Amino acid sequence: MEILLEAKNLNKKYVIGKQNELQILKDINIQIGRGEFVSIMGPSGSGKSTLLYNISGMDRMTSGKVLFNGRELSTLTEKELSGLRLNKMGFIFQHSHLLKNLSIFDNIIMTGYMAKSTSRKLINKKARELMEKTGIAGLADNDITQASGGQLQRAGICRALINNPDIIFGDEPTGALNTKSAGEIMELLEEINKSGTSILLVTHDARVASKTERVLFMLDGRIVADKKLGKCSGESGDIKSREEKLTQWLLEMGL
Amino acid sequence: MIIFRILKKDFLRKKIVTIVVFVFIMLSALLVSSGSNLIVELSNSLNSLFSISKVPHFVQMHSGELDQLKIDNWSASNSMVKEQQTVEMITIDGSDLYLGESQKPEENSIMDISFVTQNKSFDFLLDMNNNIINISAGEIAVPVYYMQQKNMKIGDKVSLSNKSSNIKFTISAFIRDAQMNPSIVHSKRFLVSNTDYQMIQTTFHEKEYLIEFLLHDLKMADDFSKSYLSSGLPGKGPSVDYNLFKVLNGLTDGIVSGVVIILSLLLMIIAILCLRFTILSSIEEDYREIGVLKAIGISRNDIRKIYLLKYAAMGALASLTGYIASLFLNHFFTSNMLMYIGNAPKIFIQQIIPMGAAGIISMIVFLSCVIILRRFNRITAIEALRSGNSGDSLKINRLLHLKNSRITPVNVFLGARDILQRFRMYALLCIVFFFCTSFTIIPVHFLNTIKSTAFISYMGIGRSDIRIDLRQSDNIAERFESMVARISGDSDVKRFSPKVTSRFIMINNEGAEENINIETGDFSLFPLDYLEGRAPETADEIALSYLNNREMNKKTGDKLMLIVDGKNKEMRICGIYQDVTNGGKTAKAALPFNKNAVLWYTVSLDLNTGINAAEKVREYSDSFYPARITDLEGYLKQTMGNTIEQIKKVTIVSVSVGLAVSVLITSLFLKMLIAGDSSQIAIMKSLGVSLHQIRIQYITRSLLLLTSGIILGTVFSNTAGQNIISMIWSFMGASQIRFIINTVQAYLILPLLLIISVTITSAISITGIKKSSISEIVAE
Repeated sequence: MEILLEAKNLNKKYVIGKQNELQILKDINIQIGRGEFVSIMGPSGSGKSTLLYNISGMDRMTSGKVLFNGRELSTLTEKELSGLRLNKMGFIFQHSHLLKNLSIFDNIIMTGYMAKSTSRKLINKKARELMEKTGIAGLADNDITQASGGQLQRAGICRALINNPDIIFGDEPTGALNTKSAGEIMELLEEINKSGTSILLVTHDARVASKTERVLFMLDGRIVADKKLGKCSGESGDIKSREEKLTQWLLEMGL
Repeated sequence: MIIFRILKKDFLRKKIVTIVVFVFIMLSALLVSSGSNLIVELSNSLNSLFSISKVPHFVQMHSGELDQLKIDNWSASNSMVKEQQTVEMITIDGSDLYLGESQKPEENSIMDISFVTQNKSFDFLLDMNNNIINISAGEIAVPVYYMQQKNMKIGDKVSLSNKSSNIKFTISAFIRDAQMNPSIVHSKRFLVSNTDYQMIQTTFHEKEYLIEFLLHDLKMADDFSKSYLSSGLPGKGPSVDYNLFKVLNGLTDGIVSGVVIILSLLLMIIAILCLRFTILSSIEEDYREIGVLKAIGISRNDIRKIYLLKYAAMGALASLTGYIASLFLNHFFTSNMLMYIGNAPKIFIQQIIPMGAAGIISMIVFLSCVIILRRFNRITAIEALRSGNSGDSLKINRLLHLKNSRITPVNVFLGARDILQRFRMYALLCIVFFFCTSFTIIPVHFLNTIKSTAFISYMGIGRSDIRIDLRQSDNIAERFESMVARISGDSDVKRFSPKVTSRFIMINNEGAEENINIETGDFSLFPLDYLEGRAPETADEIALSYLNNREMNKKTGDKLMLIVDGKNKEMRICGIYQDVTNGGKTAKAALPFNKNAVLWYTVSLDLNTGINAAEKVREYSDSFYPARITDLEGYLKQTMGNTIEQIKKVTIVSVSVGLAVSVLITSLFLKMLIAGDSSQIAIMKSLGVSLHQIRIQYITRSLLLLTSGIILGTVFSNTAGQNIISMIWSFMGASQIRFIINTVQAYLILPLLLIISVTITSAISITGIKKSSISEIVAE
C-alpha cells in the first residue's frame, strides 16, 4: 500500500514554568496508507489529539519527522503548511467549529474559494452536492445557530471534503452526538473512505473504532498496540462481531 | 477582598486595554482641568490687570484741535463721570522708529505708534510684574507685542530718527497696556520720561489724544457712550469701551481655552466609547461565567458591582492623576496669557474649578458605566449557559453571502462583511476615525483660511495689491487730494479706489441719536463678498457690517435714518458684510463724506502686471509720508500674525493628537478584537487559511472603517466644521467663514498620514493572531 502519511520518532514536549517539561508524545512511529481508515484510541491524556495535531502540521513537533506525500512537514514554511492543510487535508472536530458569522453554505465554500483550484461556480455546485449527500441541503442559508449538533457536524464534513483532500483528520467527530447521529456520521465517513480518501480519527467510542480497518492504541504518549480489523463489509453481523472483538481487545489493553 | 482579587486578576489579564482606557480618561481630565484653569486664570488675571492699570471705562480717540476746558466743563456737569483725563500722545511714523539693532525702520508696520508719558490718575501702563512703570530719562518702555514679535530684551536700544534728530533710548521695561495689548489692536504706546517727551515733541509734532473717562458705574458705559458722542465734544477717531478692551485682551487665550476644552470633551467621548467596548467585550468573554453566577443565585446587582467597582475606581484614579498632571502642565497653556496679561494672585475658586472639572469627568465615566452595565438585566442564566455568547451580531442580508460574491477577493469580502455584521462594535472605531479626521482637518482648513489673502474679505476690505492708510495729521484733506492726484497719474497703477471714513449721526431704534462710522466711496472696484445683498450704489443706500447689523437688529431692505448736512436722510440697507476690524462695527455708503468728522482715508490700488509691489510700497512710503503703505500680505500678517501663530500651534497639537488617538485606539481595538476572535482565528488556521490571509481580513476592516471615518470626517469638517468656526468668529464680526481648502494637505497628506499610521498599527497589532491555536480551543 502506498504510504500517505508517516511519523518517525515523533516527540512532543511542553515546557511548563521555567524548568518543568511535560512529554506528551514519545518516539511515535506510524504509517498511514493511501485510502486507509484508521482510528486512534486510548485513555484520556494519552496524547491522541496531540498526535493528530502534530502529524497534521497544526502543531510543531519537538523532534522527529512527519512525511506527508513524501514531504517533510518540519521543513515547510507557515505558508506552505497552510496551503497543504487547505488543499490536501480535511479536518472534522468534536464540536463542528464552524465560523459563527458565516451561513452554513458559506462555511462550506470558504476554503474552496480560498484554495482557488477551480471556479467559484463549480465550488458552489460541489457544495450543494455534498449537502444533498449529507442530508442538509435545506440548511444552506441558515445561521449556524439554526441547526442541530448533528447537522452542524455534517456541514463540518462537507467543509472538510470541499477541496477533495487526500486525508481527513477527525478529532472525536462523533463525541458530541447522540447514538443515531453518530451512526449516520460514521456511515458518511465510511462512504468517503470508499472513494479513496484516507481517514485518521481519534475516538473513545469502540463502536466508532470498530468501523475502521485499523486501530492504534495509545498509552502515556506511546503507541502500544496496532490492531488490524480489515475492511468493514457494512453487514450487521460483521459490524457486531467487529465491535465485540474490539471491546475484548480493549479490555485486554486495560481500557 | 474577593472583589479586590477579581479586580487584580482582571487587570493583569487585560493590562494594555486597562492602561489605554486609563490614559484616555487621564488625558481628558488633564485637558479639561487645564482648559478650565486657563479660563478662570484668564478672567482672574484680566480683572487684576484691569484693576491695577485702572482701565478707563470709555475712551475717545481724537486727532486735531482739542479744547480741554470744554471737556472739563462737560465732565463736571455729567453725573456719570467719576474722573476724566486726556492723554496726549506723540504719533510717530514707523519709518522714524528703529527697534533693537535693526537698521531697518518700522516703515512697513501697520501699527499706529505713539509715545506717551505715564498717566497720573488712571490708565496706567504696567511692567511685566504688573507694577506701574516709572521711567527715567534715556529709558523707554516698549509694548509686550514687540517683545514677542521682535524678540527684544531689556537693555536693547530703540531710536527715533528723522532728518533733523536722532534720539536713542534703552529699553528698561516692557509694557502691558490693557487698552492696546493685543495685536488685533493697531495702536501701540511706548512710554518715555517727561523730559524725553518734551524733547521729542520739539521734533515730532503730530499729536493724538485719548479722552478717557472713569465712570461711577460701569453698567452706564453704553448710556455714557451715547451721551458723549452726541455732546459735540472732540471725536475724530474711534471710541472704545471697557468691555471691548476685555474681549480683545481675552480673545486669543479664550479661543485656545475653548479648543483645549473641546479637545478634552473629544477625548472623554473616545474614553467612554473605549470603556463601552471594553466592558461589553468583558461581558462577552465572561458570558458563561455570568450565567453560572446567576444560576447559583448571586444577584445581578452583586455581579454588576464587580464590574462597576473596577471601572469607577479606574475613572476616579485616572481623573485624579489627570488633575495632578494638569498642575504641572498649566504653565504650557498659560504662557501666552502670562506674557500679555500677567498673573494674578490665585483665588480659592481657581483651585476648585479645575478640580471640579476633573471630578465631572470621573462622574461622567461612572454614569456611562452604570448605563452600559444595564445590559446585565438582559442576561438570563439559561441563555448564557446554553449559547455562551450574547448573540449581538446583526443578521446579514442574503446578498452579502460569500456565495454571491463573484469577484471580490475572499479575505477582503470576509473582512468587509464582518463590519456590517458586527457594526455596533465596529462603530467605535469608525466614530474615533471620524473624530480624528475632523479634528485634524478643521484646524488645517482654518489655518489655511486665515493665512490666505482671501481672508482679507473678512476684514471688510476688498482685495487689492496695495493699501494706503492716512490717519489724522495736519492738512490731511490736502494731502489726501494730492495723493489721489499722484496715484491717478501713475502709469504703474492699474486701478485704484479712494475711500473716506467719517462719522455720521444716525437715529437708533429707540429714536436717540448715535454715532456711526461710515466709509464712503466707490465700492464697485475691489468689491467685497456680501453676506446678504450688495454694495451701496446710490446715495440712499448703506451697507452694514455683520456686528453693526446684529446690534441694530435690521435686515436688508430695512430703513436707517442718518443725519446728513443737518437734515434727516432715509437710507435703505442694501447689504451686510463681514468685518473683524475696528471692533467689527462699520458701515459703507455711496454718500459724500462728512467733512467735519473725517476719521481716516484709505486708498486701495492694483498695480499693472510686472510692477514690483514691494518697490511701489517703498516709493509711496517716501512720497506720501506719513501715510502707511502696506501690501496685502503684509497687512494680513501684521494684523493676524499672532492669531495665526496661536492657531498654528493648535493645529500641530490637533494633528498630533488625531494621529496618536487613531493609532492608540486602532491598536487597542484590534488587540481586543483578536482576543475575542481567537477561537475563530484558530479554526481558520486549522482549515489552512494562512496568517497572511487572516491579516488581510483584519487590515481590510481597519482600512474600510478608516475610509468611512475619513469620508464622514471630511464632509463634517467642510460643512459643520465651517459653521463651528464661523460661529466662534461671529463674535468678532465674521459669521460666514468659507474655508480655503488646501486640497493636497486636506485630501491627500492628512488622509495618507492616517492611512499609513493605521495600516502600520493594524499590521503590528494583529501579530497576536499567530498565537491562536486550535489545540487550545479544543482543550477549552
